[in-house]
Formats: sequence, structure tokens, C-alpha cells
Amino acid sequence: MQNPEVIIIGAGTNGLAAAVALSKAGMDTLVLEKRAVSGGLSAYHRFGTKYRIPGFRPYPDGSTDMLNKALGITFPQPTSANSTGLWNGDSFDIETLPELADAGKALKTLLSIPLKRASLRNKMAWLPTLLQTQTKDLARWIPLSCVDLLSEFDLCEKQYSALTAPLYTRTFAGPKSPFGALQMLLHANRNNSNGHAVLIQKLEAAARSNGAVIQTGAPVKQICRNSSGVHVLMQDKTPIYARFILATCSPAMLRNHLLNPVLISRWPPVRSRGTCAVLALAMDQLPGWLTSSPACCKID
Amino acid sequence: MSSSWDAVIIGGGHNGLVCAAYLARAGHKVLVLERREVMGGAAVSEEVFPGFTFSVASYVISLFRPRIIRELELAKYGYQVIPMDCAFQPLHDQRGLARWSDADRTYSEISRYSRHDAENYHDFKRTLTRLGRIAAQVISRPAPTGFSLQDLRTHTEMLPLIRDLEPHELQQLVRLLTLSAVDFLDEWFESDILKAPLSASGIIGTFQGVRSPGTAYVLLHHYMGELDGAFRSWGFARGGTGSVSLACAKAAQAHGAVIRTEAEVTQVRVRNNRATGIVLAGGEEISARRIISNLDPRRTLHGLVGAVHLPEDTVNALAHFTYRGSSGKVNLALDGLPDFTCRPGIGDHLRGDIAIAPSVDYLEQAFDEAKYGAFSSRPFINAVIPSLTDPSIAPPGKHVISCFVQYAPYDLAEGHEAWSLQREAFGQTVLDTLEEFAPKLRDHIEHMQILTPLDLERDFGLTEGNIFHGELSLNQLLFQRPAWGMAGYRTPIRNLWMCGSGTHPGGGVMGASGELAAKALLRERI
Repeated sequence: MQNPEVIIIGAGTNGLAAAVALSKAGMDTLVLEKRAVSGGLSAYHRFGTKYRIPGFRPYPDGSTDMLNKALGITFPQPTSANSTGLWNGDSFDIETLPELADAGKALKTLLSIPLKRASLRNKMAWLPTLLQTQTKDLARWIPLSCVDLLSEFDLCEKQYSALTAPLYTRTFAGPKSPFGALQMLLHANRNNSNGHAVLIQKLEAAARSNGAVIQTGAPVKQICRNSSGVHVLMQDKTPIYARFILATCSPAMLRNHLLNPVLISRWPPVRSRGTCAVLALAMDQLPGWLTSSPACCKID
Repeated sequence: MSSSWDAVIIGGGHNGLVCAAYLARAGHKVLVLERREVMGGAAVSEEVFPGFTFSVASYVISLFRPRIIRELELAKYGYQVIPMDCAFQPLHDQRGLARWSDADRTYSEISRYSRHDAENYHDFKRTLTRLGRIAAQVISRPAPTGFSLQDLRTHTEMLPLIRDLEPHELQQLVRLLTLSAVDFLDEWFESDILKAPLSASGIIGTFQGVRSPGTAYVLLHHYMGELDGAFRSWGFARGGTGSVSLACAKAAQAHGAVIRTEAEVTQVRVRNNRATGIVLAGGEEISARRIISNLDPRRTLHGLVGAVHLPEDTVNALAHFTYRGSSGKVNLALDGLPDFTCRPGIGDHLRGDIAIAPSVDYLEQAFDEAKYGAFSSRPFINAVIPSLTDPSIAPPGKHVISCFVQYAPYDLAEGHEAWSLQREAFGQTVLDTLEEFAPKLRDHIEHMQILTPLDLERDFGLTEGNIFHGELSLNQLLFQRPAWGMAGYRTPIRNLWMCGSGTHPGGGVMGASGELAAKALLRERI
């Protein structure tokens, strides 16, 4: 097979989105996916004989809009639903806090401005966001813990714990650990949306139609470099050379498993500390609290 | 009483006295009012038991600003700090670890546990000293409060400092601000024995554990003092910490300031949103053109002014300003010296800072109990024996040990009032912990003074027992200390200013708040 111009390791949402963008730009793109299906964490996850769960990651509202704009593909708006909490055997809708959502948006705008080589123009781009009133809130809120942040709002106990729990659990920290608020702000306007499968299918189709090759069941063993250039070594030691290699796995995976140690000279210390597990249940009927809640109706 | 005071300062802590000295030096008529019979606030020396002088609360000096010493000529008034030479960490079964100001000696001590760490230690100190220099610049300038000309100048002055940093040093700086002390140290060292005492400096005075994000930057505080080495920067004030306050008081008096002790201020008089004077506990009223409070923000604004006079914003901001004191103090009068099992006998290792921090897990477990409202059953203890360096504070042959103890959460599960009932148990826990490393310490004890967070609040006005007048967390620093719009030492009440540790740059016996407040006032041409 002819050597591609760019190899993308991993066919998750990011890998596929990159494949669409690069192949649209005319680059000869090869996507290598370890698993038998593309989609990564967003893929359908099969268990038992006839059950599957639609991916582990909820999509933030508006992320499909962003993809539409950037990649020029039309995605159907994913179904969106409020989160449901349980309290003494009863279910309730978890409130969203508009103040947090607004501040979260401002924060994302700030974060989206690249820091390297801070040119004057980059600095100017900060100004409008900086001058918004949220900046004041942001500076005070970001270092707080989830609990401290929520204590600034008038919430009943069940809302209070429901809002805290799903946010800090993404990190190796507790509800009272500083900087939990940062997580909370970044996810403030995130609702659970069940559009994963469609999203992946659309991305995959768009990439393929632009000429990208997506190989599933193709685990990369190592990323190497020699006199002929950078290349990946497949499990059977076959090398595939390319001008660019784009890895979508975590930095720790890249450093510990994929990169030839020779290539690691000064690697920034990045920690990835897993903190959660998933329990999926196959049931013969939905429990009462779930059927009575508006949130469940849209379950894929 | 004269009603023509230019400035009345409420509280004679070291910051209040530094502020008084600067104002008096500029020719203003200044009156300092102190509730207690001694000056110094939490930076105080008291002969608690006959012959034994305790640095009752603050016990070591490091950060006191050299500029203040120079400008106020404090050396002339008795300011003298004797540097500490050693940081000793007793351990259960080995020789313990002592780090000396002598780099070679430290190298051989650390290399017993890890050669890798011994190699890295020097680099670590150098990097932190470089970054500490920047932090020291930040604390010796007023915090930016907005976009005024003064702020622009502050920013411009800071730029070259940042520009001189190597990219990886800038990266370290960002990591220092957000990481936990342990995460940061993990990047440098492998030995738990070395990481434990170093990480302990990240938690002092905070209600956080060594693994809580944001504790790494407190490490910087330990490298801001002197620039020629880490340990030279910590020392004992001759005559106890109070002598620093007394030197400031003498400097103030030499310039004509008047100091009154046993003069408790109960109220700040406010008319038409202006502070006009104060009322003393006996009912006496004193008017002044400026009132400057050395008390913490809550005590000043809620306690002395009253919420009715304050805008809603300020009341909200004060409600969100957190204190959460986490430490207590145990002072011991001894007829002999403690004998550590791991390093028996009397040696130079006793002359410095002694940290009971045998492992990172030990420190984190100490925090676990505090989270649920109990004091640590095996706390982190930072002990010093100043009488070895300065014999004047104890009778001949006898000694004083000052123990800083963490965690002692102000809010116990049974409420903070329960501290009165748990004081004795708290003291015994401290002794039990010390005796694990220095058996039979109790045989030497002649007197013992136990200060719970509740005692710190009642005796020294440290709200919720917080030794820094409010947590030193990122959301309460710089332009946010104590709140947006109040970082310039002003309050929403005209003519009422603040100069305590609740203002930028915050706690530690630095004197910087007092100095910067005075200079801000003088710029106003009071």
C-alpha cells in the first residue's frame, strides 16, 4: 500500500473529525483504529448477547454546531435531556445554573485563545472576554472547590449534592478539593445528549467520502523514526511511513506505550489518574423512578 | 483627649505598628490602640510562666521585608534575627533526615535515602529560589486593583521579571500555582521521606491536605526570604517574635506615634458613609481623620462598622471570604532537652526546625480527620527550641519548645465551642505524638500552654483561628484580597482603611501589608 501523507492513530470523535478536516484539505489520510469498530469512547459498547450502550461520553450542547461549522457537514441535532437525580427513592430534574453556564462560556472563550507566541493580536483577543462581568466571577470561582462554589447559590440539599457529584468525579479529587469549580464551569452547559452513534456514523462517512482510509482492528505497536522518516510499526512489525502522525490517545498512553523511548527527550509530566468505572445493567423492565422521569424518555 | 489625630490605628500587631511607624515618620500624628496589655498581636513574646518567654503565636521569622527593616531602621530598635541552620525530621527507625544550610552536608544526608533526590535537591532549591524572587517582587508591591495608572506601572515593572524566565521556569510557575504540593514534588523527588517535610510547608495554615490542588505555591513562600539559600531565610527573633513588633513600636514612637495598650475599640463611628472616629470599650470616643484597622476584614467591617453601613456587595463578599483555621499551638517549658531516638543526644539538629512529618500518607491522614471535624490523632507538628539559640528566653539550663500543630479545625463536629472541652486532649495528643519520636519528653515538662483555634480567636482576634487573617487561597490573593475593589487597603467606608494580613499580600510575619497600606495612604496626602 502506498504511504499516506498523514496517519491518524485512533478513530474516536477527535480522530474522525481530524480525518474529515485533513482529507477535505486534500491530504492523503489513513486512520488506524485498534478496536473492531470506530468511535472510541463514543462507540456503541456491546455487552451480553443483545445489549449495547451508546458510548460513555455525553456530548456538550452546541458541539455538533461547532462540528457543522468547522467541517461543513450537517449533523442532526442530538436529542438532549436534563439530568435526573435520585433522592429518597424519588426522582427529580437537576437544575442548571445559568450563571455558571455563562461564566463557563466566557472561560471557554478565554481558553480557546492559544497561549504560545502571544502576539499582540492574541492579547487583544482576550480583551472583550476579559472585560465581561464574568471575569470577576471567574477569578474568584476557579480556585474554589465544587462545594464552595455551589454554596454561593441558593440551592436545596438535593440539588446541591446532585450538582456536585457528577462534576468532581471526573478528576482525582473530592467535592471539597480546590479547583473543582474549574471542572464545574467547563461542564456547566453540558447536558446529556444521546447522539453519539449518529455523530460517529456521519463523521466516518464524511471522512471516507473525502478519500480518507479508515482501518479498524489495526492496533499500532509503536511510533518510530529512522533515516527514512517517521513511521508507525503495526503489531506484525510492518512499518507504515507518513509525513505526519497524529495521535489521538492520551499523552500518558503515547509516552508509555506508543513512543519509541528514543523520541522522548523532554516530556512534560502529565498525569492520568483514572477514577471511575462503568456498570451497565441489562434489565427486563425499567425501574419506576426512571419511567416516571422526563429525562429517560429519550434513551437510545 | 486630643481630637486632632491624623490617623488612629486599631490593633497593635506588627502590621499596625509598621503602618504607624511609616505614617509617623512622614510627620503625621498617629495613635495606635491595642486591646491587650502587650503589643504585637500574634507576633508577641510573653513571659507566660516565670522565667520562660514564649513566642506565644508566631514563632519563626523569614519573610519580614528587608525594605522595612532598612527604611524604619529597625536594627537600631532591637530587631535581630538569628538564622536557623537546620531542618530536622525525626523518623521511627532510621537516623532521621536533617537538611543543613551546608549543601554538601545535606547532599550526604539525602543520598542515604536516594542519590537521585540528593542530586535533584540543589536544582530544586535553585529553581524555587528563582521563582521565589518573582513572588517576592509581587508581595513588595501593591496589588493591581484595576486599570489605573498605578496598576499599569505595577504591571510594567513585573514584565522584565517574567521575561527573564526560561520557558520551563514559566511552566513551573504555572504548575506551582495549580498543583498539589505532593504532585509538584513528585516531579523532582522519589523519596517519600524527603517529600513529606517539603510538602508540609505547602499546608501550613490552610485547610487543605498535601494532596489538595493549589498547595504547591505555598512552597514558594519558603524561598522568598533570603536569596542565598533556603534555610538561612528562617530564623528566630532574639527575645522571641514579639521583639520584632517591639522594634516596630519603638520606631513608631521615635517618630512621635502614641501607643495605648488595654484600649479595646468596640466601634467605628460612621456618618454619611465616612468614618469619623472610634469608640473605646469604656465609652471614650476618639475622632480622627483616618481610621486604619489592623484587624481582619470580617472583624473590621462586620464587627466594628456593622453591616447596616455597608453596601450589599461588600456584605456578600465578606460572607464568601473564608477563614477556616486549621492549626493550634502548644508551648512547653522544659527542664531539659528532648532526646530523639533516631538521633540521640544534644546536637545541632535540635537548633533548627523540627518537623513531625514522617511520610506523605501521614500528613494526608492527618487531614482526613480534620475534614470530618476532629483534630488529627497524629498531627503534623513543626517544633522549634528557640532557647538553644537565644538562652535569654528561659532560665539557665531550661528550655522552651514551641509546637505549631496542624490539623486542629476550628469547626469541630460538635461545634467550635467544643474546643474548650477538648483543649486538654488536644495537648496530650501533641505530647503523645512527640513522645513517639522523643520518649520521656513528659518527664521534662514544667509548664504547658495549649492554644486551640478557639483560643487563637479569643486571645488574638484571629477569626476562626486562621493565622493569616483569612485563607491564603488563590481566590483570596492579590487583587482579590480581601475582595474585588478592596485590594487597595480601602474599604467602602471613606477614611476607613485596612492594613492587616487580610489585605494583600497576606499572612506570615512580613509587615508588607502595613507598609503598603501606609504608602497607599501617604500617596493620598492625608
